[in-house]
Amino acid sequence: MDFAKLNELNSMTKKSDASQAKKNEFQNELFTLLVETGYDAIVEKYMFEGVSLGGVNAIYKYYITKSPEEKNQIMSAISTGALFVQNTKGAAFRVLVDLLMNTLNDSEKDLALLAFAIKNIPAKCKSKENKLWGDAGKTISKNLIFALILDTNLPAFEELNIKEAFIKEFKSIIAYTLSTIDTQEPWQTSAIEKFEKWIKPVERNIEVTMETAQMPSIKENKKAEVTPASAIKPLKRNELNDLSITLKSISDRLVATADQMQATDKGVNTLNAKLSVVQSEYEAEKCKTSDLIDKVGQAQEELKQAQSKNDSLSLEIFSLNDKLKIMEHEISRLNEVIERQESVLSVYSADKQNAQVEQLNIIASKLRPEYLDFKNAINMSMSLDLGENLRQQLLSIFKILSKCGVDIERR
Amino acid sequence: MVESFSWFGIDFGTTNSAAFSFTGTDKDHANPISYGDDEGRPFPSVVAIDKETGEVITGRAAKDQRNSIIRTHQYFSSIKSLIDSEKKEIIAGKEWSAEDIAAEIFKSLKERMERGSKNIVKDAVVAVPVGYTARKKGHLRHAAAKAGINIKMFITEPTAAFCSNYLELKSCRNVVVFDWGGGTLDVAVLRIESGKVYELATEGMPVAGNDIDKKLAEKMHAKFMRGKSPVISIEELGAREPETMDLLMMKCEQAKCAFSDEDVAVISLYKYGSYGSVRESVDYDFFALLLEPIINDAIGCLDRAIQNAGMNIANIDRILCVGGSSQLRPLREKLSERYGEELIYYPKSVMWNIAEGAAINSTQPGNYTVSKPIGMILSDGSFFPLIKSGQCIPCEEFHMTLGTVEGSEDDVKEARFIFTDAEVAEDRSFEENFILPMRGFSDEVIMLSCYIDQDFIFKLKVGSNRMVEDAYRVWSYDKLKICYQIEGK
Repeated sequence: MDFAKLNELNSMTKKSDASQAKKNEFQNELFTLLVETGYDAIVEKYMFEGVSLGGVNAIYKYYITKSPEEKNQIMSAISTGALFVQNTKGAAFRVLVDLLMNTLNDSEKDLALLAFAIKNIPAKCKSKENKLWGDAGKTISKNLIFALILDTNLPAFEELNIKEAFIKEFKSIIAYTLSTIDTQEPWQTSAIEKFEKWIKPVERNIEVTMETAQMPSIKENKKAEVTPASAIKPLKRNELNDLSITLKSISDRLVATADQMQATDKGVNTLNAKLSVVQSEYEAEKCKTSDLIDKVGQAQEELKQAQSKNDSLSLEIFSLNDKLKIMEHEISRLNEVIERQESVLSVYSADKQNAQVEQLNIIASKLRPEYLDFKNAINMSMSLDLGENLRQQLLSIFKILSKCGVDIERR
Repeated sequence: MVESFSWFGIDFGTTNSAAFSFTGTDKDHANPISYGDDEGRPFPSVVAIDKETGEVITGRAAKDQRNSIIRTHQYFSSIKSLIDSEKKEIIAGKEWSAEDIAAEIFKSLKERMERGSKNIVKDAVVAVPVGYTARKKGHLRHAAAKAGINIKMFITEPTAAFCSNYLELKSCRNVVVFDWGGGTLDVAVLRIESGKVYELATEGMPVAGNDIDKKLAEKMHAKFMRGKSPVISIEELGAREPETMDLLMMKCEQAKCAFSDEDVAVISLYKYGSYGSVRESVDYDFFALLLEPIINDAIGCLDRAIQNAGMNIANIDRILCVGGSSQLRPLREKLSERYGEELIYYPKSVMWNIAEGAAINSTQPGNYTVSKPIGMILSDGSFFPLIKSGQCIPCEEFHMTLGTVEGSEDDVKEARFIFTDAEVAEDRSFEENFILPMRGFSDEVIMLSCYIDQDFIFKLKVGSNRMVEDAYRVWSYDKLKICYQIEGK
């Protein structure tokens, strides 16, 4: 979504003087945003800031396309929206009036939205000090009464499923507004009449004792106050009858309302006392909870550190185990090498010993024929032949010894 | 469990046997060690078994006392040649086969190799003569197994000798191995080509060192008999005076060895039977003259081998002389005179070369491969190889299924096979004709399988899928043309 256009239109000065084309453009952009994101804080912001550009029309246009359940969600979102709740300078009130106007002008009237607007207008048309916004009447007259399509049918209040008190309050405000309108064009008269009929039996000329928060735009003589009887022009008979009935009714209602308010005041006081106890308890609990949260946070931090340490120790253990395995493997390998070398050395050693024995055996073996021969001569009587043979044998023995490495001559 | 640290090779000779090992922490750092008798000489391949006690004497002890113990002991020599004999002898109540007797030689060698060390001989490469039959190899394998030695490979003696001298001979193309030991002379002509050793031709004769000792002894006996009365033959002397005969043989052998660096040898005996003292001085010329016929025969043998290989002496790059008798001075002189000194090559230890070559193969086994294929002739006359040239031995069994095609005859009654080793008839070494009866079923096929076993025997089995396997025809062929792949050794 490109907010540039919305921002551009929204930043216009004197939005109410904007051309219809600009207004339409703003409404279309807002509608597109609604379709994309649904009703959220951003939409609310644009709707409230661009109420003069008909922002509410876009909301209404979006609203009527939804299912009853979704409509409820939208109304809930509107009513809990920050700007709506704050109602700065009666902005929420203006939104509600525009919503009401859109609903009434629609041939298919959405009674839920109608009820929502009627229920909330009385509350939102007043400041926190319970004073009517100064331009509330003007807003209602301009944006509702004179914006109404004349041939539209206004639904009966009985069709709305809301408390009578809300309806009465709404009617009072409309009645008050109607009573403040002085300039009347013929089409305006028709509109006023239509509204008078709608809120009947509340009359337009009744005495409305409503304080205004800022009413610079409302003339003093239009303020609802009891006019001295001497100052009242003589009325016609039927008018007087009607007026007396109405006054009586209002008087009764005011008395009832005063009683109700008194009872409510008492209840409110009791509740306030209870609330203050609960609040002090709540504060105490809040402190405890806060302490506990701090402790839990601290414990969690310690746990986290311990876990981190544990992880690092585990890693170290793994690493040491790996090293241990490698070392064990290396030891095993080296043992094998040692065993192997021992085996090899045993062979070399045996070979060396065998070589020595072999050398002796070679000498013995070579001398053996001489020895066996000599044994035959031991008992012979000496003769020249024997002597010569012995000499030859000795020579032969010395040769054998010499060839076997026994170096006699050089010793 | 310590891995092998000794790699063994055995030269199981007709007259003498020798064992050799390369021992070290690994194959690249192994030192050569030879094992023979207790005098450091090759182990005489003789076995004597006491006829009464059954006690066995082997090696030098049996050889040197041959005549003395001949009456009390059953004496066996040249066991290698007789190993496929079916003959069995009962000695001291125990039946002895040729394999059992050969096993005694293996046991003695094994005991010698393991003596005083941590050596455990489990496997060895054994060298055998060229053309040593598969049957003999099988018996030799069993004999070794009885001694607890597994023969992991056979290698031919000339190839083993070549391997042990590979560094000296690797640039040669044609090499003659002249192996003259105690019992036989074996000459082989080798061709070394593309890292392979081909045995082109062999020749041999059963005359060697022992015969020379005997011949000298005969001559000396004749000299000793001069002027004496009564004159008896040497055989009679041996029969009457076996100890004197043994002594004479020993002195003659010593004299033979002495002539390698001396010109005169004196052979004297104080008591020559009933003739008293005898003494004769023999000079080298006499000795050379005495040996001339044998030397000439040996040279003739060498020439024939070269001729059989289709070459002449000009084609020969080196003559490798191994075996104790190849050191005889008259032979060396004759060889140098005839072929020139540069052609003759004597390794350092002529008596251990073959065993050393076998041990080298135990360390770094080479491969025997088929140098001529074996296959069958197809119906169109072409040759279809079943075992291709270059196939390593031993090889896995190869299976094949042959379909039958209905011919012009009504039913297929038999299948004819011709197995051979070449397409062209003139090049064939053999032809084996086979007729396999067929059952005539429509789904009948011929199942054929073949392989070459560790004793280099080609084995073939063929039959119909409609036969029980017991009825399959089997055929084996043990005269394969093989060569030894030495490349990379």
